[in-house]
Amino acid sequence: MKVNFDFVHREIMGDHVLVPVGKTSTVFNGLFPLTDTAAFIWGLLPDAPDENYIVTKLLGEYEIDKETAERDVSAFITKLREFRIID
Amino acid sequence: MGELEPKISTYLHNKGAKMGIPVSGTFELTRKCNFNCKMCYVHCTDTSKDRELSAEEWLNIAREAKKAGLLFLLLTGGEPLLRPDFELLYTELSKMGFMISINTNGSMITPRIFRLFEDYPPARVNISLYGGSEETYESLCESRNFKKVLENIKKLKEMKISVRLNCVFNRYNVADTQEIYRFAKENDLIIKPTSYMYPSLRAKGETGDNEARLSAVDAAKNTVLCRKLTFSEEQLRAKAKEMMSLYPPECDPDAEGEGMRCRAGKSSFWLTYDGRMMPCGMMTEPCVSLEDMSFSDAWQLIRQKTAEIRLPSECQQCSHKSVCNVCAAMCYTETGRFDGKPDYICDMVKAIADEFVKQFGEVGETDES
Repeated sequence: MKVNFDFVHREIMGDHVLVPVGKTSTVFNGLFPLTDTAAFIWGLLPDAPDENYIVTKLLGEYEIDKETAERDVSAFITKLREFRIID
Repeated sequence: MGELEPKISTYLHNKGAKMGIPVSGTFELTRKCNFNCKMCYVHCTDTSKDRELSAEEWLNIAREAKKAGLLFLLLTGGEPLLRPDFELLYTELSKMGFMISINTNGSMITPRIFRLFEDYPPARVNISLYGGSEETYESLCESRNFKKVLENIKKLKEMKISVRLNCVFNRYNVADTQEIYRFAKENDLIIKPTSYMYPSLRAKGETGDNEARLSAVDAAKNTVLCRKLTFSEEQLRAKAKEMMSLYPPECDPDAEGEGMRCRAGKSSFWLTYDGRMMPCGMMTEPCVSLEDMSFSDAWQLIRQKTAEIRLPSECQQCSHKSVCNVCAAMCYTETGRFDGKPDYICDMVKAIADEFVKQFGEVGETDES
């Protein structure tokens, strides 16, 4: 999944934030906080062909059921699409 | 025209202070300046012997600071845009993932710098606005750049870059206060006013005075004027009511002074042009050179020394404690001691309270009401 904007993912004191870099700052003026799960998904995005790939990886990382994983992935991906961060 | 800090910034700073992480920092890239302001705390006319850190040295420090948790970075000077390698330095710092703000006098934002800000927009540009006319600029800064600064501010706004006006009111520009506020309002600009000026300890090596500053009472009157130009009648009356009911806090009369009240040395640091770390750029100590140790070791030492600082014990018993923003840098630059009672501040804060009550206190309202 191609990320359309330039962000640096920073982990500070256990909190995750995306820092907009360059012209991305004109679209997103400020920090973009991420939950732990969202940060994990964000790290997978460039290699992820689809949501199923991310769900499988999430199930391997966290002790959650498939339904919860699918819901979390879908919610985050929908949000990213809303902001046109991914297509 | 005031400003609210984003919640995430407050959250990260508070967490940083608890965990001892330098979430924010200032890189004072140079103390050279194309202005020669009478009240400047850092600028010296003879900077020929200055050994400024190179761009590579700043970038190495930035890499270390990033690992330690630095997120909010302020680039300041002197005039940071005077550095010939500013473009390189700024671009590389931007790519590292910092939220960068820049302090500038606004006179050196060339077409190249505008293009740079187009490619890498800063989180905010803080423009020090020194007056409302060329004449004021000439008398205070020895520079006729007023119109150029205004034009540059407008261009930054057109580029949708967040701009804040930092306004330090003093003997030379106090008469321009209303004009500056009018300009800010007209251009929808945030304004950060102060009518207090630190003694120029770093620039002149002397505590206790700043030749350009207002008397404590005049500084108080201008502080109230700035609030009047910002807040509603209702807010001003509420403030006056607070000022009418000040009383000494209940505490042990022999209690020692409290520690630092701000973020300096808890979640933020200041690095001078020649690589010395301090909690705050207004003070000269505690101070640790990065020539002698790593960024992280320097930060730990600064934290430790900051924690030892105590403000005056007299402040603990003061009736005006709740409305006084006295800080360690004020005490130190005014008296040469962190626990020295800064009389100028005491006089100013009491005069602010009196002025509020005089101007906005309800008729018939008393301390007992």
